[in-house]
Amino acid sequence: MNPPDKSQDQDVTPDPLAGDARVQRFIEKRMGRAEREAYLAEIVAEPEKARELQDLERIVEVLHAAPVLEAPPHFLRDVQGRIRRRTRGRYFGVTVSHRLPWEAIINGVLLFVLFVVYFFGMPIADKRVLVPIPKATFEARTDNHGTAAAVLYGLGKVDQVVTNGHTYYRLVVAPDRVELAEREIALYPFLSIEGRAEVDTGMLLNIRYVAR
Amino acid sequence: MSVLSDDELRFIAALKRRDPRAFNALVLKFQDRVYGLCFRVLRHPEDAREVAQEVFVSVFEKVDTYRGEAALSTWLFRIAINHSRNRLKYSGRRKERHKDSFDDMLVQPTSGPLNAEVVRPDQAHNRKRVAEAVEAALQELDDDQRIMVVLRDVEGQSYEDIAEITGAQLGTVKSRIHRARQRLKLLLAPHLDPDDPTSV
Repeated sequence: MNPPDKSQDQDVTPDPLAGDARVQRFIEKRMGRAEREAYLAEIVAEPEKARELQDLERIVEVLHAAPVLEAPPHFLRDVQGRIRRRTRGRYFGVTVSHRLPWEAIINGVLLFVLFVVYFFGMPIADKRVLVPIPKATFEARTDNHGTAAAVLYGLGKVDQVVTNGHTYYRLVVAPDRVELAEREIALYPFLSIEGRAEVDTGMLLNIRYVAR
Repeated sequence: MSVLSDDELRFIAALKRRDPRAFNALVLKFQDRVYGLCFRVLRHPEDAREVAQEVFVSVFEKVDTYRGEAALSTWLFRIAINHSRNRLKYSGRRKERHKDSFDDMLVQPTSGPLNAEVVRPDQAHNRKRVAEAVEAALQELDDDQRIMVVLRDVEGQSYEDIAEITGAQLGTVKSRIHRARQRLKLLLAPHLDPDDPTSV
């Protein structure tokens, strides 16, 4: 705050209205009609004073018409919040709708914990589950063209066998679909062919093919 | 001796009981005027917002000290002026003018709390220009002059109430208001159009 400055009240600018106690009543329109007219008639001979009065009167009118300044949005809510904090919630305490949802937060945390335990606690499926090798028999076939096929019962069936000097085979094993890599095998009589593959099921297959 | 009516006394009693409905009603009734007063004194919207909120917090905390010897608005404005002066004292924005438009804060750009005149639409633009000039001119006044002339000519407080609010002598109040008006006349002279009764 400014320190009291008496110079404000003793402006060096000549004031034509100085000393006239009726000035404020006039410019603030607090004079009765008769008094006002009499005052105007009195100052008509003092044009400077009259002009000053009229100007000041208009200034007061303008100030009277100064617009109302609207408080910021949520003003009441903000005031309530200040009081709530100042009184530690004693006044304008939060209602249930405004209270932090502790129960929901706790339930959410518990659910998350359970999810984590469930997800990470479950035994991980071993992709390399060993499947008991079923007993299988195979039947060697030959045809007149030297085509041979082997069917392994119990393991599935040979998908395709084509021989043109080489044997390609693809073995599909049920229930798990196991595909052995195609292997090129030269056919020779009495050739014992063994194939071993470790596939996703970890099944070990020994294929013996005896060509006739 | 109380100057309050029976309804006002009941309202004050409710405030002293910390009745939230009564307090909410008080805030809603006076928030614009308190904020406007703080803004015109502090010349900064953020400071005005904080101070205005603190005014009502103080009212809530100290309503027991209100004895009804002055109007509730007078007591409220005294708290507002005290808070505003404290902010002016410690703020570094005393000389900083708020240059942003205050359009967003206007409720009725063409009339004030003391003016019930009906304004034609074609005068609205001019009145708005004048309102902005008035606000700018108020910011040019000395703090005490600005406080007193706003309390008198904008808020309609009596000279005696202004003396009560500001703690100044009655003669000092009248003198400073007169000087403030003269200063405003000089500042607003470019906006004076003697041929247009709707202008300043």
